[in-house]
Amino acid sequence: MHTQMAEMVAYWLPKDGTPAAEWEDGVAYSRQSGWFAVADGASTGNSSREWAYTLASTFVADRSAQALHDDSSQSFLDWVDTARARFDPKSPEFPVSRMPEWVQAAGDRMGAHATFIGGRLDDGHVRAVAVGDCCLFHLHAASGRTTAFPLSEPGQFNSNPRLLSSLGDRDHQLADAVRHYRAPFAPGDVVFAASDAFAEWLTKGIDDPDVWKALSGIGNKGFRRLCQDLRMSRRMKNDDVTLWRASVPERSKR
Amino acid sequence: MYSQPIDRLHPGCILLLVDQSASMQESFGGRAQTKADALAQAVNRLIRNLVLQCQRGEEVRDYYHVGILGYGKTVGPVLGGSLAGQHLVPVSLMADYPLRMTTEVLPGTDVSVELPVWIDPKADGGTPMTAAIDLAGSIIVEWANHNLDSFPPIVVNISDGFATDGDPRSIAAQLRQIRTSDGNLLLFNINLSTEALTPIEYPNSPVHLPNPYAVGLFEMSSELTPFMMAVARGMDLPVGNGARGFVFNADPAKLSEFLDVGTRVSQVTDR
Repeated sequence: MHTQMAEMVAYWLPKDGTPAAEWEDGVAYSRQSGWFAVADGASTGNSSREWAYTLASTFVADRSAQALHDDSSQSFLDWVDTARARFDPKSPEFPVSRMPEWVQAAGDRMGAHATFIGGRLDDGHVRAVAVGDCCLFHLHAASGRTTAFPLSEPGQFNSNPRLLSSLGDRDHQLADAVRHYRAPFAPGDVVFAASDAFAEWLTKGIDDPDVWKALSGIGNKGFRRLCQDLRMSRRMKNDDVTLWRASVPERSKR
Repeated sequence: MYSQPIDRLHPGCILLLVDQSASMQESFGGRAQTKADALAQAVNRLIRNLVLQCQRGEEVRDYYHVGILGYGKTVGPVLGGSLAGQHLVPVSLMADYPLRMTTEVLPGTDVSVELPVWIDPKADGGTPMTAAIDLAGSIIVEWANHNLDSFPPIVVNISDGFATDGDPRSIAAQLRQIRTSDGNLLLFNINLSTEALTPIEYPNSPVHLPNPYAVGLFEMSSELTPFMMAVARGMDLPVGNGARGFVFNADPAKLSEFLDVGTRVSQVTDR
């Protein structure tokens, strides 16, 4: 199967009542290489949005097979170090800080933080690595069941997920937080990656085929409507939302 | 009740009433530092923490309106510089306009950091607590009228002694009647001790309080909200059901702890 031919699309929405510029997740993917990533900047601290963007974009640009090695968390944390080296919140591509210098300095001392999931579709497999509560959902066409990774139940989501810091001084505490996923990716399978609010809702309906059917064909408008409905009915918390989807077109199955 | 999340459309309000009477120049909790020094330090630290809680993206968001009233020789707002004379200030303006910056070395490191200062120690005159509570009411009622759906205002009164301008209990009861749709104003009291005495923290009954003055402060104090109770329990503080936001004979550590617990709202969202 040529997984590099997978169709990929991402949807995102800021918190209700906030402008698009305040969306603090990051998402990146490449159909050609099969690499993808979703990151969610922590709400407190400055530059978390920029850190989430840097993590996602650097992961996809680097294509570091080392980062996906599932024999050790250190390989992934070594890659995070390379992302840190490229992290520049004062880059012209980001909004200019309007904070007083002392606030900026205090924020810099605390560092920026984000949860992360990144992976690759290739050689008939999906591989992923995660820290925190960004999740991957793998719909297996053959069995009709869905695998959730790294969290699979609503009760596992809380307000204190494990985070990747822009400062490297606490990486030694993250060794047990790095999770790996690897599974065959068969024709007809679909893979989603989502930041925590949407992922939490998905774990509630993980056994509902209608949810996955709807999401497999959802477009921008449909996604926006769905999120608004979930927020209004309080079935999903009002948070930034990101959903990435990969699937193999019918013609590639043959 | 007491569950409205804080966001820019529903900001919170924190008003500190700080005793600036002459007795505040006495030592605090048996230590060399004066009560006035420790109070100014704790208030500056609290405001700094509030500002840092409000940094999002490239800005400080106005999740709180903050005020500091002093009572001693005079009664009134104590912010200075560009904020002089202002009663309640959006937290982004607090961030922009400290009185000055001081340099401190971070404990256990050789790293120097610039820390903002908004108030300086002051100790002069009597203890016109009743007038301060009265002024607080006139400020807060206006705020509540403009922020009807916000988390209720929090007023923290920090003093080392008796009111010298009459019994403050009835005016405090009136203050606590100010409300938003999310509940009544929360009034908390902390009594600072000159000597190193055993503090009485968050009592839920006046039974063990040592004198009528302490009982009066207990009666003036609101109960902690469920969220504050959870925060206090998370800090291993002794809070039972119905615990009031009141500490008697506090030392410097208890002062900082109290300001941390008493200014916690249910949730600050990112909007």
